[in-house]
Amino acid sequence: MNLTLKIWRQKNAQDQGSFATYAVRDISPDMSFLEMMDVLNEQLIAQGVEPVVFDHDCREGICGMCSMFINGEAHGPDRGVTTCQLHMRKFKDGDTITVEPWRAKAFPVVRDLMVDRSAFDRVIQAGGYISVNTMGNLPDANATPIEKHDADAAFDAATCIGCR
Amino acid sequence: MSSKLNSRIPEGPISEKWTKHKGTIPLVSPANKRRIDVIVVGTGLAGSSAAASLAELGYNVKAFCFQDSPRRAHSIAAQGGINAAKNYQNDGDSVFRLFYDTVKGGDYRSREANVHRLAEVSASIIDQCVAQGVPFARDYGGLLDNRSFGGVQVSRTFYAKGQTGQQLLLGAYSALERQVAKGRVKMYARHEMVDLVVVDGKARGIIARNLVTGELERHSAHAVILASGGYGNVFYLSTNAMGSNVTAAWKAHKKGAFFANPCFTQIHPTCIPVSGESQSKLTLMSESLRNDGRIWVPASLEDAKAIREGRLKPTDLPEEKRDYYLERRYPAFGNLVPRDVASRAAKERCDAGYGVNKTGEAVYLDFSAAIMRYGQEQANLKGMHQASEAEIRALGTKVVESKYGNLFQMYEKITDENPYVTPMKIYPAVHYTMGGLWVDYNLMSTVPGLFVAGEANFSDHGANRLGASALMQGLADGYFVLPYTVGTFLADDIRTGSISTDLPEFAEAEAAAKARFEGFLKAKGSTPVEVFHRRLGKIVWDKIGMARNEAGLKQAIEEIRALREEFYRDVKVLGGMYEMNPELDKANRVADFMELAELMALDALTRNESCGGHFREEYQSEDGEALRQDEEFAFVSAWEFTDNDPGKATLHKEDLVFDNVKLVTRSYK
Amino acid sequence: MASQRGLFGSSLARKYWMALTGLFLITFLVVHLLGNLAIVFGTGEDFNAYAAFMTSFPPIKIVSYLLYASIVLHAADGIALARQNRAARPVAYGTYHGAANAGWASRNMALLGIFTLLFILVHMKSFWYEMHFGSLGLDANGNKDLFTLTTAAFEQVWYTAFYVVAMLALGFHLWHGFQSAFQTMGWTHPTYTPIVQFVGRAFAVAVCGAFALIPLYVLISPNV
Repeated sequence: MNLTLKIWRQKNAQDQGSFATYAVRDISPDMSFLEMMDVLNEQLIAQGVEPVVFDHDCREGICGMCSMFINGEAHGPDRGVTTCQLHMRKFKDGDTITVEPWRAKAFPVVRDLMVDRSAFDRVIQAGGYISVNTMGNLPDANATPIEKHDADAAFDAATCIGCR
Repeated sequence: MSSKLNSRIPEGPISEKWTKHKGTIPLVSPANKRRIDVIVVGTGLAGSSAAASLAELGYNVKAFCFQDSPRRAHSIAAQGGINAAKNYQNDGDSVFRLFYDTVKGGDYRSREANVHRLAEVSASIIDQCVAQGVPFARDYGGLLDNRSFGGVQVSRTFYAKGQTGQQLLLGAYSALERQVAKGRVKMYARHEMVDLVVVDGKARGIIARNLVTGELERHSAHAVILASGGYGNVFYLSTNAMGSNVTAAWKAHKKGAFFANPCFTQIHPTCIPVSGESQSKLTLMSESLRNDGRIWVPASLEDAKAIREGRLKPTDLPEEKRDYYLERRYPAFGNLVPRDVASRAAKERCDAGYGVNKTGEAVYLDFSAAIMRYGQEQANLKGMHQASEAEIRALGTKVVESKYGNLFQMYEKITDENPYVTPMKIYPAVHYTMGGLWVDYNLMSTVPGLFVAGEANFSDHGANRLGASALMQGLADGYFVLPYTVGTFLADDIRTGSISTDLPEFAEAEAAAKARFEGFLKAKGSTPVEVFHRRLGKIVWDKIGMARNEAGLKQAIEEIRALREEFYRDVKVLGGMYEMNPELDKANRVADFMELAELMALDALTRNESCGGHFREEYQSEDGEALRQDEEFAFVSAWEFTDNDPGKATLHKEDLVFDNVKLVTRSYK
Repeated sequence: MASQRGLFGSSLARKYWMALTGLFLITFLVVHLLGNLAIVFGTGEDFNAYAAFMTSFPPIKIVSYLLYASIVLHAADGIALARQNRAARPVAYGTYHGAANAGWASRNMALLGIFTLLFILVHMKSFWYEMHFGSLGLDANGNKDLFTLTTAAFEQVWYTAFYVVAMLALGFHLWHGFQSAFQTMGWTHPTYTPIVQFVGRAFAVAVCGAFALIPLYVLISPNV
């Protein structure tokens, strides 16, 4: 498929920034959105244009690093997935796709689509921990039973924190 | 044993070594700890837990990670679970059994004393994590649940759905952030270690690059701990995160730390296959799927070709035209053979032309038999004696969904195929590296003051890691080993005073790093870094991958050297040094992978045997099984960087002594 | 953060106050509606007796001061939160597809709330002020004749139109707000939350619909 991309380019936090329009061709529907961005970047490098900077790491939907605001939606049109698990089959040939960084005072843009999310670390520092030191003689892990329902709910809470 | 290697294994019976050793390690008083700085590189399970624990003890800690937050480290992606010898299930587990299973699973290439210590502290890890608030799966009585994992006969794996690594990392991360809030840890996110600084033969600091500004920074400390993970990305495609790299460990290697067993890499058998040239990353599907899935390829080459070309559907192929090759070759274990065996068997079939997707590199993992089996059970339970095939299938699908639903959903998202209806396609992928920097019993490398923890060191998994052991090792190192053993080195440093970053060693290291980055920018060639990485990965995968042979390894060395030469001449990196420039970061990482790859080939070439993840085609039995050579090769290969050339490294051998485990051949027939 | 800014300043505390005052105002709506139904189902004297009771019975008077305070706090916190929300995103998205994540009512709570506040002011001027400080005549039972004032107001088309539109705004406000108050307070549960959501929406439609029907009834019916 062939696509038109409107991507936010911003050199650094001080820069004003603006949208740039690029065309990409022969995108496979099996590619992830980030792999499509890789194709764009290889193309830009060949043209001598600096590639688009974006955050990404695990690319299997768990680390929470990939961000991006795609067509006016966080992580794009698919539901319950991160951008790295969004696949191009969710788009149509000839689509124009707008890609922006998160827009929030708490997350200043670092460059292009990359923002600084260290505010989340500061939230945890403000008290998001249990005050237990490392000890070799803590009570046995089964000393306090915890309801299955509560334990399972806690997985989801942690998943939410992890994705920020 | 080489005179340069002293493993410092304490005397005495194996079950008393750690207790005795802990009791004799020199202590550093709380007042003196405040005068000692420690650098921790990497914030995964090993790094976060070490940094938090050392800060709690009173040391001044500086922690570094290349990600935007310590909680992104790739430990987060671990799915299956974490082992501990709790014996909650009353099924006969014990510290000795965990120790024994781990040594055997590692194909007898790990150090007994370290593995025993790992098994000893495993139970404390679970207690620690639960106290920190880490949620684990529980049964309806509110007590901790366990599951069984590959290669063992007890249920000792603690888990949290398919996200155990994430839960554990958030626990370690919150312990770390607590110390950051107190000012005990200074956190440097988006910083990458680009060199180790050695002063008077001791590790005294690092050069780090601030990835946002591009500035090179000098950081000094009395000791440096590397917890920078494995090097699976040398293969380009792997289940590692995109940023995972070997640079910190490799730079330490070039400054004197020996690199042990680099050729021991783990290829995981159940990953989603490569779909096309532009693929950047492979996704693991939990090993647990092999409990119910049957692995097969078409029995005839014509059918395989027809399937590849889309003229034939797998569901149309009758039973007698399918080759359930694992069940055929290993009737005793069938689809449940260990990871290394399953991976090699898949490669063998695909190489012979039986692969099933467009690229010819995939085999089927088929749940239809399990669906019908479970469906029949359910029908019987419900008293549906005249159930139609469709009804049985619907009932069975429900059972499979309840067991593996999230994995099936993930598969469908990525491949757009419904695995309940058509068999899954899987292929092996690089997953973990057992090799790493050589460390002694105290986890100290051959550079005094440089400690190495987690996947970055080599010590506990031998030639093959068992499932759910990586999380255990990372947290053992960080929570319960390093906080004690750093004392062996730091007790002598209480009078040193702070280390100045104005020392000439810092200036030299910084200048060298600067020249290196400028070199990438100045090359002004025509080929992007990514292309070099992809080409390197292809060489490593084809010739230093699941099966290796002498000719291929020698060829690989030639090709890697040529590629490296081309890289420095022709790499194209745009932008400047003093700005956020991920292409430049990548160039630096790929350059180190290209040196490591050569050492891997050299190591594989030297090890004339097959063991665990290292399979040399020359050393196999008549029916294609691995042949270990214990007489000659029961040692750790520790490579010293010499002659300023990775290919001219000097081999040192640490002989492995097995007093508590009897060496036998693994057989799954 | 919350402790430094006390019980009122932090955004979290404000959300709690929004939820609690919101739920209290919802209970008031029920009482108010029951009284209004006297216009349709009772006589003018019944309605006037009800109005007299509401303005003189001491416990109700106390509750009414709580009510005025709740309206002020709900509005002030709502405006403060909306402003804070806007300030948190100084640079707007180039493309924003809000409907993908939240319903129209949810995204327009501040607008709907402000319109409702405007309505309350007009409404209080029309009836509450006249009842307390105006010069209303007396009915046969000697109660202030609020009934005549009310029906006269509702017979004006523009007033009834404004009233109906305001009820529509309040309906949308409650469509989201009822369930959202429970969410804010952390009263969520996989089984009960959908029920709360259904009840909230049914309440919004039924109560605001009934409020709006009364002036329409007065306007259309020649007997009143």
